[in-house]
Amino acid sequence: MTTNAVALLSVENVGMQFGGLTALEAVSFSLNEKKIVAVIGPNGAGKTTLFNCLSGFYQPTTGRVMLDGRAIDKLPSHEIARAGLVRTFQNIRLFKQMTVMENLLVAQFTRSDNRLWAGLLNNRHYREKEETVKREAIYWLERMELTPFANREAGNLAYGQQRRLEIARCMATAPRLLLLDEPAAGLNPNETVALCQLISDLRNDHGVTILLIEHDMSLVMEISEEILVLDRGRPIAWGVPAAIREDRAVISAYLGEECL
Amino acid sequence: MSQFILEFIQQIINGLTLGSIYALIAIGYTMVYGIIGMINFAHGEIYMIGAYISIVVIAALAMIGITALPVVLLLTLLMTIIITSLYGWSVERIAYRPLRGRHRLVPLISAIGMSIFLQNYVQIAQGARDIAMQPLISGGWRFGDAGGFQIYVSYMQVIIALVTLAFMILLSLFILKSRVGKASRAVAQDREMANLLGIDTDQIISITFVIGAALAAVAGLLVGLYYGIVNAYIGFIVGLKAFTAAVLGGIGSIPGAMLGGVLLGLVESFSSAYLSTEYKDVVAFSVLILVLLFRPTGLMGKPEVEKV
Amino acid sequence: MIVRQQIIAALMAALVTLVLAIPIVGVHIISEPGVIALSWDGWKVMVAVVVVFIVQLLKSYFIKSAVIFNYKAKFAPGLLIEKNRKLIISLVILFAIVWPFYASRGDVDIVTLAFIYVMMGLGLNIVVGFAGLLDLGYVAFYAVGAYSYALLSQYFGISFWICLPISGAIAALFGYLLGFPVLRLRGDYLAIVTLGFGEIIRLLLNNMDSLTGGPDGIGNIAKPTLFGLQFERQSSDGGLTFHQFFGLPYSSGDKTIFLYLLALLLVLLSLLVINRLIRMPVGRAWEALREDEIACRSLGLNPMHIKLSAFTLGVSFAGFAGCFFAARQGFINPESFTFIESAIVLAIVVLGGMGSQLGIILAALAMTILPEIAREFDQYRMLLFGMVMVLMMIWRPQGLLPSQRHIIKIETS
Repeated sequence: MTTNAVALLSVENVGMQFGGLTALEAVSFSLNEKKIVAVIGPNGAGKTTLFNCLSGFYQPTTGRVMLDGRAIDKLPSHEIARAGLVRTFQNIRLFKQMTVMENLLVAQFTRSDNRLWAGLLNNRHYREKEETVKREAIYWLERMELTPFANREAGNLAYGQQRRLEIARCMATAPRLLLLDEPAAGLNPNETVALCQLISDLRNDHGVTILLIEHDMSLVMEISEEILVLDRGRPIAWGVPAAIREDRAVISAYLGEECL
Repeated sequence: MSQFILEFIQQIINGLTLGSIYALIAIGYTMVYGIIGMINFAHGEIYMIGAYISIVVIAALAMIGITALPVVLLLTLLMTIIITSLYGWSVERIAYRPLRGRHRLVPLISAIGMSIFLQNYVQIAQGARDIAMQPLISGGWRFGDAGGFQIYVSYMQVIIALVTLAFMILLSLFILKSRVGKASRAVAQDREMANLLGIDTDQIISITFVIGAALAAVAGLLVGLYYGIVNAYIGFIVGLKAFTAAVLGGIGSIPGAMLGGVLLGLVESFSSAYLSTEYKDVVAFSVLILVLLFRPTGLMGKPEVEKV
Repeated sequence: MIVRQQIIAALMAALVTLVLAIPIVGVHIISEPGVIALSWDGWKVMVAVVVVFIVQLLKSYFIKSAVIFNYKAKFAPGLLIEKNRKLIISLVILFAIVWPFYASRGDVDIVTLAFIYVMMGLGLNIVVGFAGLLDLGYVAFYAVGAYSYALLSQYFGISFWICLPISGAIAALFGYLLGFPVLRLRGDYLAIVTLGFGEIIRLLLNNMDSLTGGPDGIGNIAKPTLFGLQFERQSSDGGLTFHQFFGLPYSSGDKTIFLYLLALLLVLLSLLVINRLIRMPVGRAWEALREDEIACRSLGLNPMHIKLSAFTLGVSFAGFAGCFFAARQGFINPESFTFIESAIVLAIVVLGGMGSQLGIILAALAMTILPEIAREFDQYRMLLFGMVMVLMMIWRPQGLLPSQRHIIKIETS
């Protein structure tokens, strides 16, 4: 297997403190390419904090985060995104008053021709770039079944469509690692099944590695190859779904000591 | 003592006088910011209106034959505070309350509109000319002597310092001890929660504007008595400087506004004495920009945490 | 019961108005040397009280009709305009070109001035409307543009046409240097810092007497030429003048029309450039940033760069406008660059509808032309400005003509 290859993401001893409060402590794990891994844990376990640390919205107080062998923990969030790590948000953050299409175009900003003169003069290189960007956006519209809504304001989409658009927007940046923060929250059972399929398709067809936070255990157990369990800011288990299901520490974290 | 030291002390005295005025106005900015997170751009105009009203009251009292100084001062203070507070209250009621919960630039633009409106309202009603008033209280003390230079402390300067101090103490007691003061601190911390706990947040916000306006009225009265010259445009620059003072001290913090006001007064007094009078405003605004750049939370403010 | 409550509320409002108005409107301070007295002007107070009472009483009715108005406005432009867009624009431009030849000199002059405000409105709109950055010191860049031309022309004799891009570039440079440190600040702090910066620039212009002439300003600034042809009776540099070259009799109106057409050209160029900009990736990024900065960062957009590009490009238009202003006036002093100018331009953007270019053009024309038509109301102009700004924020924060966003449409069969 790929044991001797450099892991795509490696998290070493990451900790995060707010004032005197420890939100995250000594989290270490590594992620190989094309894996689907879930982060689970009770509310307040520090899952979103971990995502914020990885994606640069927080700077971890201790530890290191390496993406493809390069330290990213000191980088600002937009540079981390450029390095190939993008994320979605628990409370969907679309550009609500822009159209679905425009959301996908904005996502490709860093790949557009941004020279002022090229754009003002509308020269060939600029036009070609714009065409490529548009084609890519159209691809993702189709892929995510959003084509009929392309010209609608993103804020007017149904909830499930907004979730898909947020994922599409991430994918349009051609990421290497995709962080999904509760992608199934608010979806109905049918949509959740479709999401399952989508996540594994994205990995298979586009080679993207996926790390997701999720409360829906059926989804987590079905698609993740490995699971990281956090409790009160500390990692308490790491392993394949079957092992996690049996793990005493995990069960007690979720259900409390007395249930054992 | 050498002349240099005497001059230095003189600048401190002048700076404290000016700083007291800034501090009084700065409190209005800082309290409003603390409670609803908006810059009340029209606050400088409230101070200007306070200065006008104080002159009107003094003139009216003189016309009905009341000239005993303590009575005049007390009545003027009272009337000025009442009417100016009503202005502060009305401004909030008309221009800001309907905008609760909108994007934060919306009330700011409304406040700018209010500021322009009030300035021109007074200018149209009272004319664009300066209004000059004979000083009611003149004279002072002289100290020291070095090379013909004496420190001069006017009675008015002492009054400004004492009145400012008195109102600061009153305000602090009010905020710390009274029910309304406690409620207002609760609203400043978490408006929604305070609302759930049965605090009438709209009323608390109104009271905040009234207190801010009352202190601005005191500042207007003191400036009217001290300089004796008032026009419709004095609110803009002084307001901007008082805002600078509030930012310098840490916006949202009442002791910060007091400290910031005094510091800015000193900075201005020293820069006009040792640099040049023309550049004193440049120095004051540079302080504003530098503070916001390097310590946006000011000297006594709390840092804000970004929520993702 | 509701009627009774309304009457009570109206009475309260009238009472408050009475107390507020008496000391400011009701009495007039007579300030002679040594004396201070009051004269009574009670009827104005009564008028104010009655007006407030009636407005308050009918407020609910006003609000209802305002809602209906909103509803209609959405459908007003209609398909007809949409379809014939190009034709209508061409006709408007044609009219704008022909008009000055038939209009009075005074009118042409006023519209020329209005065009300066159109340019500034369009420029500030990039900053405020598209990128959502509130700049209260926009006039500083107008001043920078004006003084750039005045100084370059006075000290080095550089012509208007060379100075025009230079003025824009210098204004942009100032914008960049200011924006670099301050654009990190939150919206309302940014507003105040830019305001402070505007004041600093004005104070510096006022006090650096040896360079800027201080309060006296700079006079005798060279007027623009048409390919080197001056519009004076006698050429100052010994060359031909416009009327000599074309063998026309000298008419001072020629210069007015020339300046008008020049301003029109600058406005059209600004529109052209801005319309390209907002369709470019950077234009999309401005809007995205205004909507959600965190989402932008998560997609790899550097907020600082994007804000800086909006700020720098936006203020460069103030630089161009300033350069033209200096050339048109032939004389500038710091008085032309007070905060009130910034407030007027902001009011234009706000009234026009943030992000809407047509709205801004109309607002700029209205703001400059209306006070000229109703001169007797001139002193009420700023009063109304202020009032309208407040009312707009309450009733229509999106402006009179909310932006019809340009969107990239794709076939959705």
